[in-house]
Amino acid sequence: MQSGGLNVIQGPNGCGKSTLARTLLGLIPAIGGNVSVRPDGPRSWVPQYLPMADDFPVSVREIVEMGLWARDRAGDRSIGRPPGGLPRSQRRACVEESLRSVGLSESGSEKFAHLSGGQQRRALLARALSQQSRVIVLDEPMAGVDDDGRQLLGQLLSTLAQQSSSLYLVITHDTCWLTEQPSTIATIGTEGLVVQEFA
Amino acid sequence: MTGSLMETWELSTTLFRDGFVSLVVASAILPPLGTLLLLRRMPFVAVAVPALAGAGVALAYFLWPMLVVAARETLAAPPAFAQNSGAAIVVGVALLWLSRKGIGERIDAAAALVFVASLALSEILLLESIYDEVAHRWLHHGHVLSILEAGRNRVVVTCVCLGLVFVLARRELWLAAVDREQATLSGLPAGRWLFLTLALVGSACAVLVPELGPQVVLALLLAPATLLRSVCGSLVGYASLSAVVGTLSAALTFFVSVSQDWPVAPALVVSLVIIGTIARVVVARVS
Repeated sequence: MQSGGLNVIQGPNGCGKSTLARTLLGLIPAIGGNVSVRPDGPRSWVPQYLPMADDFPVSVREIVEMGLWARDRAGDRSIGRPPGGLPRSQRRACVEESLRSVGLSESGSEKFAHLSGGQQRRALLARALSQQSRVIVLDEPMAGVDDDGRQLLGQLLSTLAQQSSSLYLVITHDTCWLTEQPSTIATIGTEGLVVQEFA
Repeated sequence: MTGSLMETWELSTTLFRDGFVSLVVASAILPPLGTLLLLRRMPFVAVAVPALAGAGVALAYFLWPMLVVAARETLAAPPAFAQNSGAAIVVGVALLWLSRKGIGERIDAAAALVFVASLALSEILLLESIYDEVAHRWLHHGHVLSILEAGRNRVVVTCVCLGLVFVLARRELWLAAVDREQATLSGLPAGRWLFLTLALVGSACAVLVPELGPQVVLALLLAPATLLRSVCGSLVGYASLSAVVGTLSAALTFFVSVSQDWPVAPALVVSLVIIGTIARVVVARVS
């Protein structure tokens, strides 16, 4: 897997794609073998959805800012930033820049739960951008997104992946939304894991 | 009419000053702690912890005369440290057990069971103790109107400490409540931050319940957070508005309680509903 393009893990529902991704991120222990991620650094998980009711009181801006609330293992809040974290003005600028990158500049004050599925996915992507993650893993980013939203989100993902030094890993059961040739496609099927590289 | 109202207000803020200060300070801290439990979808924990602290106080009432012969003769209530210790032990043991239950609905279901068990334990311990009906009422309703300077200081110091922890760690507490997986990736282990959340609520209850009573603490933990959840658009607004509604309600409570001669707990619930509903309407119109 490498940065500079999308890396895709595809396979039918229930074959273990999300389990593999969670294992890679260290969210669940590996059933076997070892996981090593290089370079080490912040990692982000963009889930299919955040389970929350319609009245859940969290704004889009707060969701994005959560990317800046990370700590390293020693408990330091800065993680590659000035000690003690970013000053408030820089934090706000970082959040606004991340929202602009995903086309949600106007939605910062809205409730996260009131956004559409595609918009929620973009807000979570903005959170990963604000965190300056080295590895960004998206779990079924097109689930529950309408055709227009799929096209918009697919284009956005391709652009971000090409322009960024971060590694983008997309878990999906279909690839018809891809607008650009991905760097890598790993297919989980009856023959095990088949990896194709296109870079 | 105005003179009568002023007289009532002065009476409530001078004669019962220590109780007034204690309730107002607690009302500024408990509602934001309650929002953490609501964000984690654990309302039954908010119900169970004050009841657990109440059971701890009942345990102190039950054991004190067995340990101190003089108390058996004079029927003196257990001192504050005994009540706080009883509450802390029962709350601590139960929260340790609850925090091992996992996260979300599982812990909440277990908390419901703990709540029922706490009520039963309180009743049995009080029934078997040597104290009379007054002690029972005192335990359930607290003694807000007769809090003394030492009790007020305990409440204020505890609330200030918990408030500081909440303010300093609010972002981590929120992230761990909203998105467990991202919190884990951000260096905030889910179990540890759940325990910190429970520890904050548990500490508050262990100190405040012996003074204010389980009903007052429960109402402050749950009512503002529940009433305001749907109208608030952000976490900051949710916590801040809960604290404001709690504080205003506490002031109104004293006025209602003294003027109508109602016990503090029901007066507080009425005040919370009135102020909370007004806040809902105002926020809905503004936004």
